[in-house]
Amino acid sequence: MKNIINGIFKENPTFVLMLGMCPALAITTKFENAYLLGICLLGVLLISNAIISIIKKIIPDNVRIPICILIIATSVTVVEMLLSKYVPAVYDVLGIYLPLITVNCIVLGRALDVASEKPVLSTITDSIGIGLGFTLALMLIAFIREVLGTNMITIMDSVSELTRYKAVYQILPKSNLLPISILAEPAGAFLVLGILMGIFKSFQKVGEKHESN
Amino acid sequence: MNKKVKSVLVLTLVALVCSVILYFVAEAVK
Repeated sequence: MKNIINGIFKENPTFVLMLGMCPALAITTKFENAYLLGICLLGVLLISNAIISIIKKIIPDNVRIPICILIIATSVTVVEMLLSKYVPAVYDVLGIYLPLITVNCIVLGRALDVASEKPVLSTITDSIGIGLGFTLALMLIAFIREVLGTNMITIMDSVSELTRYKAVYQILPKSNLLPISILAEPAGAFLVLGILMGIFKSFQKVGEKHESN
Repeated sequence: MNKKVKSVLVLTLVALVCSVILYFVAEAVK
């Protein structure tokens, strides 16, 4: 449990470790895209890190990186093939960002730092924590960007064929201030990410002060 | 065994296993 909470708050990949920034900025235009990518990354992280942790003793140090990338690429391809066959709507929504999980720094970073050193159970809990931390961070960024940038929130739209439930809402009342269209554009992603990072850091400092007292 | 030879062997083995897994998954979803 400690590992999971650690991954969400103390070592949040987006706000603290600052890893995997490309999808965090690019895919957070819609709330739906954010949680779908987060879930996919969580799956890949779990599969690849568990395998790496199991075989860590037979991997020689000088080929550790190529072997980690091989295992990550294989698990991404398996997830991609399964999605394209069974959930094509999710496959279409994520597009290029799904195969790009292979080169995501979070997955490789955790594979080299945690999975190559710690036991399997600890690796699995760490992967769940980091995956949840990434998913929640993406959801938070996407929520702010979509609500303020388009005055809508897309909880289920592309996957509505699968779930048979469509959920696209207007949250705030119409006004002269909304929507702030820059937030829906790439520049808005940097703004929102920077502000959230600042808030996260200040909360962390307050927490550290409390701990030291 | 020479360290370099062992590294190459392990890398080849992992690549082979990954290829086999991918082949079976691709066949299953075809």
